[in-house]
Amino acid sequence: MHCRVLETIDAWRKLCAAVMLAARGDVVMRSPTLQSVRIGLCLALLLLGAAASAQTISDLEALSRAAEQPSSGVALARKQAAEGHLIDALSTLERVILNAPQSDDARLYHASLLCQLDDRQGATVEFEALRGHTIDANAWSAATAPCNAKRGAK
Amino acid sequence: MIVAKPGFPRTAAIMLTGAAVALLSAVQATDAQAKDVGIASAVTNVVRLKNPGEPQPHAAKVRETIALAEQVSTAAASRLQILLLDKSTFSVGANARLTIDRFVYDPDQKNNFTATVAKGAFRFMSGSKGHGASSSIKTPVASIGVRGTIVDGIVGADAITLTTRERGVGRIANADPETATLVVLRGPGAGTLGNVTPGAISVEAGGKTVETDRPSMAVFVPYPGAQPIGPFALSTSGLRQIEDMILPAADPILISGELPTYKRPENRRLPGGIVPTVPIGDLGADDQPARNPTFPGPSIFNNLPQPRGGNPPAPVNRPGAAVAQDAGPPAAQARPPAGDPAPAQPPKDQADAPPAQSPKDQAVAPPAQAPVAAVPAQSPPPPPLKRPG
Repeated sequence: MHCRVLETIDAWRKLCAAVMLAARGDVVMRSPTLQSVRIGLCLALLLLGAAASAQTISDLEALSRAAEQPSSGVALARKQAAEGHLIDALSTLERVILNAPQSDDARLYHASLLCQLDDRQGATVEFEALRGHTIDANAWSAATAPCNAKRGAK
Repeated sequence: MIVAKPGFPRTAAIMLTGAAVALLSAVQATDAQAKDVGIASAVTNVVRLKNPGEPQPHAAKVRETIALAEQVSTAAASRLQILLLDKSTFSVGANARLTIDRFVYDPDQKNNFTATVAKGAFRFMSGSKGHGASSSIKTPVASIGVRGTIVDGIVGADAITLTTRERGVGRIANADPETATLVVLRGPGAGTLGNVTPGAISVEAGGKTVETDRPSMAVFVPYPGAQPIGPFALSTSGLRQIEDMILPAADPILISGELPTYKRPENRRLPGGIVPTVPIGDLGADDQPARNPTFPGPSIFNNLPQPRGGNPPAPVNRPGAAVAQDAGPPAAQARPPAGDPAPAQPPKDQADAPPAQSPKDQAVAPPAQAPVAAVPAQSPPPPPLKRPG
């Protein structure tokens, strides 16, 4: 098994199996309350383990779905960037651009994030891709601010 | 002393049966998901997946799970982004072939990821859940170690075409159009903002390892057994070409009779629209002066420095040219004679005559000389953007 999450689930299953074996012992047999608690705990672990794996995939699906529309994708990217996950934000914007290459908002923010990640040449390429497009001046200023701030800082 | 109640064995039996059922369900679910490493988070045009057990590949759908050892391939004008469990992404451009060989994921610990790219352009971006994951990308000629970063690469003839246009690198004798690999570190660099940790890559080939931690630095491996050339600073135009292979251009143009594709148009000015001031980066060897006289020129990047540090690109197999020390001796880059035991491949000189692209490929490929405005290094600050009338 190559995925640690699944290995963890495997470990939980082994734990449950051990609980089942222990349930055959005299001490546990004489303690129905304890046995019930153990079995209940075991079931909870099993369900939790399966849910953890499913949740991870469903998390990914949600991230993919959010990038199908430029507005929701850019909003998600801004949220991820605000939380400090700049690379996650960048990958979200790349999904948006793959789905909607015409999204100037996504490209503009993508270029801005590249500046923030110190990939200034990459930002140059992205800003240049917007050559001739109608861009709101305020949005342009906001997008290029990190590049200017960075240059000024140095 | 606790004594078992009379009804307990039956209750226990019911609970044990329930637990067994749950256990079996979990086992089945786990087996089904055992090899899933992520999903196809974005699919453009024709992408095919083939499990080792499947006789034929099938068309990938958006959000379809991607499994270990599954062969991923893209058709012309097609692209794919794979979102992995640790939120890392692996994107590939057209005519690419990729397999994810290994993926160890623990949300709380260091992860491990290995993939093989046999052909095409790719981009790997480390995810926020990677926790300093050690990732490795293998190509037919090199092994790329990735530490928390964004890395681009090309495997195949495009790598040769792009590299030979770079200043100072020039033609590379005997480069193999099937396996030649170009790798570019994109970031985060040392000057990154926020709490992002700067990344680094290492490229191992021919018994030599080259490392770089500076954005836009590239490494080229021309054929199996050759040592890496570089790192050298990739030009803006080179970076643009890689970008166009991985992401679609801003302006889609449907070419009749072909798959939907995207082609960067010539400069245009929308009626009534403003033309934003376009940043100008360091101009590469093949960058050309502005072709659009209406283009405003000065930009926010007037003083953009060249990528810091790194070694100068290594001219290879060019008579009379000096060879950078880090790039290895020229003899190391030239393919050994056919009589040499390794690499056992027929001599080729594809760099001298880059392989002709099919019409479909040409439609996808970005223009070799995309218009770029030339701006004096000390231009005045950019004028404010004009608002639409």
